[in-house]
Amino acid sequence: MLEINGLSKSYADSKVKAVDNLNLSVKPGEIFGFLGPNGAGKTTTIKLVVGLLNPDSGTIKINGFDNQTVTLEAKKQIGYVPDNPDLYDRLTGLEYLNFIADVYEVNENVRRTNITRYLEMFELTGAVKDLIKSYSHGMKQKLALTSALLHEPNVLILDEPMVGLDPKSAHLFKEVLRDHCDKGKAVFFSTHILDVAERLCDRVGIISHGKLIACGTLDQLRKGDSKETLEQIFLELTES
Amino acid sequence: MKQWIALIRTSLKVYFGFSVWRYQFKNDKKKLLELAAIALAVVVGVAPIIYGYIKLIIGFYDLGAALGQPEFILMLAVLVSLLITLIFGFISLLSGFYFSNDLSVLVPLPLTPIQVLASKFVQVLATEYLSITFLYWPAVITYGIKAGPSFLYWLASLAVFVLLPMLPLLIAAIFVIPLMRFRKANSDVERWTAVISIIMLVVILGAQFAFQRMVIAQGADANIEEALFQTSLGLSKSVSRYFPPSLWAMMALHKAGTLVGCGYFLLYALLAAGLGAAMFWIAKKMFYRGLLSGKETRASKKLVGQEQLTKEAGLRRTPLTAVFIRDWKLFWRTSIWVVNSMVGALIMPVILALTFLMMPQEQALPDFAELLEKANLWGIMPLIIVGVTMLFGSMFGLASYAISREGPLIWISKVIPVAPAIQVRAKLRHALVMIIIAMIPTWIVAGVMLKIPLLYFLPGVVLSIPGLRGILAAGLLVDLLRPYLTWDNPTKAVKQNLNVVFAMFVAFWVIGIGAFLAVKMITAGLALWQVYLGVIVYLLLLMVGLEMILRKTAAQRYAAIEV
Repeated sequence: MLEINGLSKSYADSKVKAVDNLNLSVKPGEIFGFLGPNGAGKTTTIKLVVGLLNPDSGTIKINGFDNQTVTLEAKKQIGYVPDNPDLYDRLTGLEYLNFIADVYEVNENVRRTNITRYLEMFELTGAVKDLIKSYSHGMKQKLALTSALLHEPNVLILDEPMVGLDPKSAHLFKEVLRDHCDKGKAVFFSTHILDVAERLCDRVGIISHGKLIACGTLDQLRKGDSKETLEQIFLELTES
Repeated sequence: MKQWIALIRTSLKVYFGFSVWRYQFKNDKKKLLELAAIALAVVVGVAPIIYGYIKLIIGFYDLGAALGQPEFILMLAVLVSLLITLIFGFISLLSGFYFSNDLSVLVPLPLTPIQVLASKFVQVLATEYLSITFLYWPAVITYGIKAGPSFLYWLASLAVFVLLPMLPLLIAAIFVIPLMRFRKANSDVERWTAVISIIMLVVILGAQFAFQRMVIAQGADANIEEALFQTSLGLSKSVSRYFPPSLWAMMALHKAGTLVGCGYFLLYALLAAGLGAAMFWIAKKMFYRGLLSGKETRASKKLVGQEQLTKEAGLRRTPLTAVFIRDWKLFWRTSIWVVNSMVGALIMPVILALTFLMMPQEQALPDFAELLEKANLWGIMPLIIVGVTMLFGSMFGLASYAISREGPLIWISKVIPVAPAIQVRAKLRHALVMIIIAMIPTWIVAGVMLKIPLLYFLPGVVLSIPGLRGILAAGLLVDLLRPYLTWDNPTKAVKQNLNVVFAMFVAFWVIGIGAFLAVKMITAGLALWQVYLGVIVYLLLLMVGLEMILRKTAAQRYAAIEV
């Protein structure tokens, strides 16, 4: 579903590579957790995948579409939630969702079903006619998640999606992710909440200084020590 | 005092992005090249305009000198600077005091309301210095070179420049600070601000025209000629009635180095100090209360039924229409953009109408239709309408910050699966619709006041559409080449965006070349239909060519934008 090969990126004002020869893949039906300390290159990688940044080298294929050559097809495969849910403050929640449904050319039935379903799930129905600027951070996050799910994308790309969600919404959201993957689709998300990653992810990748330093299932990362937590693994790998 | 200085310094750094510029110059040498290219573009674009402007100033000086009143040029420079500061300062202060994003950072800090307000006032003041530089200094330098005053004149000119915009800005501030206190609870603060801004501008213009009418009416008095032309300072005294302290500032320059000059300067300074004290007193009482009430956002609590939600969620539009509707809503719901781009549309017909309505009957212009008839110029009337429409249309700047308007939210446009060519088409369409809406009042007022028959008017309007599309495509192209996306306040998207100015210069060139070609064809004795054919070909080439370039460039430029 998502294939990253030899991906590198450095910023114009820095000699250090933010992402350095990254290789990874996410399979259909898989939830992939992308972990790393602050400034490790998680958000840069995600921005490269969704087309917000241009890579120096390497390729990214989303459901078989190269995001540098068949850009629009690649974009259609993605539902993206950024780390900071900055949306159009001067649109109402419903106007924003309609805009997203229009640009992804979602048919009437699917959009009706999904809009009502997710708005109800995240308890946003009462606020949907209000301007987004009146929403709390958590509400904006839930609206961003709803908009990312609207067109039933093959790959969900989420940057710290749990930040700002209340416990109930976080629980529901995890169920949505599992449900999404059960349909044969994939989820790629970054997080700092290691407990969530431990319980939710089929595989995790750990990035540090732009390089992927570990990747696999939890059992593979534990290397036989079944009592080791993800937190311990993470600290060992990133501090060494 | 250290706290004041630190706050003002930081505030200026943030507002003008000095730290960002320094960082970029240090780390990204391409920026230096970009700056050099911009400077070159400004010189090329502005040079003919500056040349004409300087010629005009020298002409005014010579005219004043011939009447024995060379100081009149100083009077004009001072007066225009003051009026511009008063009108635009009002909008800038409203935005600075109540809509700056950093206010939410400043208010919780241990700073007094006066300190916060002063930092915002200085921000706006700094911008006003930039605005009036081009009005004030050319006139002051022309007088300085031609009249040969003493060295003290140059010192006085600097001192007057420093003090000049403070007075009108303080007056505007005294009106602006209490405004938020009178806002109706729960009303939309941005819409309310837009309405207030428009009302204030219309009031200011109305007052100016009422005064103008009074002066014109006085013209019937035979003594007015003597008062204007034969009395010392007659012209200056007459025009200074628009804003009396302007005379004091002018006298401080004209009589620089004398006790009289010092006296006028002190008078101006004392009035500014008094107004400053009044502003701080009002700020202490009202600023934070108004500011905090403006920050409250209220959920509407509109209950949405399942049926209504299902219905509204099921309306499907094409991606092109969706982008158009998004841009349309965001534009109209951002008051500062409406005020900046659409108030001109309201002011121009108001000025036109007032000019005609307030003219005393005996001094009214001769019948415009009759004049055209006599000069046998009716045939080119549609061409005049095209030129004027394109000229006015270029001033609204609607397309030249259409990409910049997306600001940090450009990430959404980058992520959605809509081809950049379609996105720019939607933006062009939006700008064209807005410009037509903006032009309608001017077209109606001009048509009615100048008694232009529909037979001439409609072809002019229709013919101006490709011309407008051409200059809009040029504006959008300018913005696409160097979009300003890092703003943190919608005011900056337009006020600190040089693209608006660049696009205007490009439009002036386009209109100038068109006018030149038309005049050349007419004077060469071509038949009218041949002239029209030439103009139509020029406008179509302009529209098709620029739109094609725009679409071809869009994908590449969108891809180059990194968020």
